Amino acid sequence: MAKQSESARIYWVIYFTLLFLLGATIALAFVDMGHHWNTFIAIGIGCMKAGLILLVFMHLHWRDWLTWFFAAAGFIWLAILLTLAAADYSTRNHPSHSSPKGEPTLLAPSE
Amino acid sequence: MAQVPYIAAPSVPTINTFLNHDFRISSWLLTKDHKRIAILFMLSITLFFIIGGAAAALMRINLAAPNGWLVRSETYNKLFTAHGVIMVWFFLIPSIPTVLGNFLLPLMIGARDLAFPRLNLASWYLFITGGIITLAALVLGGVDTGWTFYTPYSSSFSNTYVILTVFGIFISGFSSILTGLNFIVTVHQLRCPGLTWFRLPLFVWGLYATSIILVLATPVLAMTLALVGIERIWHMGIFDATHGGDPLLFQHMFWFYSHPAVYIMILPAMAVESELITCFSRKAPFGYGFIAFSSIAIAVLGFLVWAHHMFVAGISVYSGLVFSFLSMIVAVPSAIKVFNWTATLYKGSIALQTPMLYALGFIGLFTIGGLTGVMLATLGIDMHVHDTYFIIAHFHYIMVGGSVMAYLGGIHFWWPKITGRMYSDWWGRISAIIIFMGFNLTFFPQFILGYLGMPRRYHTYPPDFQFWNILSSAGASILAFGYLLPLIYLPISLRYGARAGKNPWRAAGLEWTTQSPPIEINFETIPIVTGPAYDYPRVLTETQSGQS
Amino acid sequence: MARVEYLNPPYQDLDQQSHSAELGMWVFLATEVLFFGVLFTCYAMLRMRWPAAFRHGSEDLNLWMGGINTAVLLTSSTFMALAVRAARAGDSRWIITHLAITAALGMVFLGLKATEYSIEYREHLIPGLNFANLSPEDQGKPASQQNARPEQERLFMIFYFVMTGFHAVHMLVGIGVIVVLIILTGRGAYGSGYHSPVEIAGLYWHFVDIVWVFLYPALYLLRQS
Repeated sequence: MAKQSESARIYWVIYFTLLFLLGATIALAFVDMGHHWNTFIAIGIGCMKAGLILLVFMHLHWRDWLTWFFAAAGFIWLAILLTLAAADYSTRNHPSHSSPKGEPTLLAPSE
Repeated sequence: MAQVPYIAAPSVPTINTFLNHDFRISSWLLTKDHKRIAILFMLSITLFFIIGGAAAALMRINLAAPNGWLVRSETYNKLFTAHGVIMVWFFLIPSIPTVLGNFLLPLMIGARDLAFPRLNLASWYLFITGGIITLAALVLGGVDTGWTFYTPYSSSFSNTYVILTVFGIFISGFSSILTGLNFIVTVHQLRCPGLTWFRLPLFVWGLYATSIILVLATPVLAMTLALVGIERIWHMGIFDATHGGDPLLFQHMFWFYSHPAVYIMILPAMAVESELITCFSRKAPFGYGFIAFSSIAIAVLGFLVWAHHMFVAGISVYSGLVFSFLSMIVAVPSAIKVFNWTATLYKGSIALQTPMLYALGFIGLFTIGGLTGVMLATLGIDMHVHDTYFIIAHFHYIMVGGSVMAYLGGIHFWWPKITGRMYSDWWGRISAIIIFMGFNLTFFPQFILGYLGMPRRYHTYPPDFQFWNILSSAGASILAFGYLLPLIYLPISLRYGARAGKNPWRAAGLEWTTQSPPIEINFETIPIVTGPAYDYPRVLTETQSGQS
Repeated sequence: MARVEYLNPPYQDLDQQSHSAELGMWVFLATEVLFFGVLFTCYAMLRMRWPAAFRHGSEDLNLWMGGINTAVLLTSSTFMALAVRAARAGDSRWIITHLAITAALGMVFLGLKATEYSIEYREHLIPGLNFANLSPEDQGKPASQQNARPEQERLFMIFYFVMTGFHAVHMLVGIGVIVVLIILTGRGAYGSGYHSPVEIAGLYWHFVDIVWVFLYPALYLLRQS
C-alpha cells in the first residue's frame, strides 16, 4: 500500500467541506441565475464533491497512474456517451423545423 | 492448490495433465482452473453455434424460393431473431476471449491462473444461466423483434417473450464484464518476471483491448435492456413518443454497446491472426508496436462511431456528418493491421498448414468486410443500401469471415496444446478451403442482392432476386458442410491423433514451453523472460536440436 | 508477511493479491459508472426535450428529505473511511464500530427513502401505479387554482424511481457486504497484515455515495431555468 496520512483529521476536514458544499448547492437551487447557470453550477458542485470523495475517501490521491486511469475511464466514457448523444439531440431540429410554441419536434409527423 | 497429487505417480505411463488429475464431474463443475473453464466455455458455445446455425439454415432453405414456401412470416421473424441473439451474444462475443483467451492468457504471460479464478468460474455460470433463460424464451415461443430489440417494436408492439430474452442477455452481460475485468487485472498484475509490455505476445494486446471494451460497453447494454424490460412491464414511456419519450434514445444506447461489440468480436480475431501469421511465416511480425497500438486505437475509436447505424433513423444530419467521418477513421488502425500482416508474410518462410489457411482466409474476407464498411460509413451510400442484404453481407464478412475464421484458425493452432493431440492436417486444410469457398458463395451474392435493393428480414421476395438467393443458399449448404468437418475430425484426434509434444508448430511464446496438455499449475517453475516476443531465429534453433 | 492463510493462488504474496483486488474493484466501478451513466444520459436528453415538465417534477419532490439523505450518506462515507483507517492500524474493535455506524446510516438512508416513496404514493406521483395529473389536495380546488402536472412529468417520475431504485439496490448490496465484514472482523479475520476486503468494500460504498451526489442535484435541485 502506498504511503499516506494516518491521521483521522483529514477525513473530518473533507467531511465538513462536503457538508458545506451540500449546503451551498441547496441554497443555490433557490436562486434563479438564468441561462442554464443553475444546471452548470449544481453539476459543478457535484463534481467537486465527487472529486473530494475520490481523492481522499477512496485514497486516489495516494495511488499510481494505473488506478487513476481506471478511476477516470468510466467518467471519460460516460462523457463520450453524453457528448455524442447530445450532439444529435441538440442539432436534430433545425430552427425552421420547430413548432410554433418553440418546443422542438422530435420527428416530423409524416415520419 | 499445487500440492501432492499433481507431482506424484511417476510410474504411470501417461503424463499428468490438467485433464486427467481428477475425473469427477464436480472437478469440472467446481473447477477454478482457467484451462478447464475454457473447455467448459468451448463446449457450451459450440452448442450455441449449432443452434444458431440451425436457425440460419432454415432461413436459407426458405429463401431458396421467392414465395416463402417453408415458414410463415412470424416464424421467419423468430428465426432471424434467434439466429442473431444466439450468434452474437452466445457465440461470437464469448468465442475467442472465453475459450482461447481463458486458456492461453495465463500460459502466455507465465502465470498460474487468471487473477480471480472464482470470478472466472462465476462468469461461466452466469453465461450458461443467461443462455438457458434465452433458450427457454426461444422454446416457449420465440421473439420476433430482431436481435436489436428496437423500440417501439420491443416495448409496445411485440407480444412475444421479449422480457425473458432480454433478461437472459442481461445476465450473460455480467459474464462478459467479469471476463474483461479478470483479463485486465491479470495482464497488469501477473506477468512473469522479465515480461515487459513490449515483450507480450500480440494476442495479449488484442485481448487487453477487447477487455477494455467488455468492461466499458457491456454495462450500457445491460441497463438499456433493463429499461426495455421496465418499459414493457409498467408501460413507462422512456422510449415511447406518445408519452414524451424517444425511440431513438434506445438506438443511441443500444449502439453505444453494440457497435463496440463488433470490435469485441473482431479484436480478438485480429489478435489470433497476428499469432498465426507470425508462426507460419517463421518471422517476427512487421511493426509490432503498430499492431499492438492499433488494437488499443480500435478499442477507443470504436466507441465514437455508433450512430452510423442510425443514419436513416432520424438523427440530426449534422451529427450524421460527424459520425460518418469518425467511422472512416476507425478504418485506419484496421488497415494498419492488414498491411502489417501482409508485410509479415513478405519474405517469410510460409508453411501452408491448417491454421495458416484459416489465417490467410481471414485476411481476404476481413478486407472485403472492412472496405464495404467504409462504403457504408459514407452517408450517401448508406441511405441507399440501409437495411438491405448489402448490410447483411458486410457484417457477415466481418463477423463470420473474420471472427469465426480466426476462432477456427486459433482452435486448430492451439488444439495440440489444449488436448496434446494432432488432428489430421489434410482434413483440416480441406475444411478450411471448403469453409472459405462456401462462405464466399453464401455472402458475396448478398452484396449484389443488397445493391439491387432486396431488403433484409423478409421471408418472401420478388422472383427477380431468385438467382442470387439460390446461389447464396447453395453456398450456405457448402459452408455448413465445412463447419461439420472439424466437429468430426477434431474429436477423432482425441483418440487417434499423434501425440503433439511441447511445440508441434515450432512456434514462439511461453505457452509452447510447457507440456501439452499443460499441468494443472501451468508451469513447474514460473518462467523468466529474457528476450523479445517472436524471436524466431532462436526458437527455430532450439526446436531444431530436438526439443520438440 | 503475516496471515499467509489468506494467500490464494495464483498470487506470490499478499501485496500482489491486495493490489489485484483493488485494481479489480476500480475496473468494476468503471463499469458501474456506465451502468448508471445510461440513466443519466437518457435523463439529460429527455430533460433537454421537456424542460418545463421536468422542472415541475423536480418541484414535486421533497428537497429537504433528499438533502438530509445526502448528509446521511456523506456521514456514512466518512465513517467508512475511518473504518478503513482502523483496518490499516489493525484495530478490529474500531473497524467493527465504524462499519456498524456506516451500515446503520445506510439503513437510515433507506428508511428515509422509503418514507419519501410513501409520500409520493400519497401525492399520486408513482407512474404505473397511481400517477395523476393532479395532486390529491388540488383535486377539490377550482380549476384556476390547480397546479396541474404537465403530461411529461410522468417521464420525470419514471426516471426518479428507476434511478433512485437502482441506487437503493446498490445500497442494500453495500449494507449486506458490510454486515459480512463485521462478522468476519469479529472472528479476527482482518488486521494490519491483511485487510483488503475492508478496503475494496470501502471503495464500493464511496462509489454508491458518489452516485447519489449526482442524483441529488439532477433530480431534486434543478428547479430554475
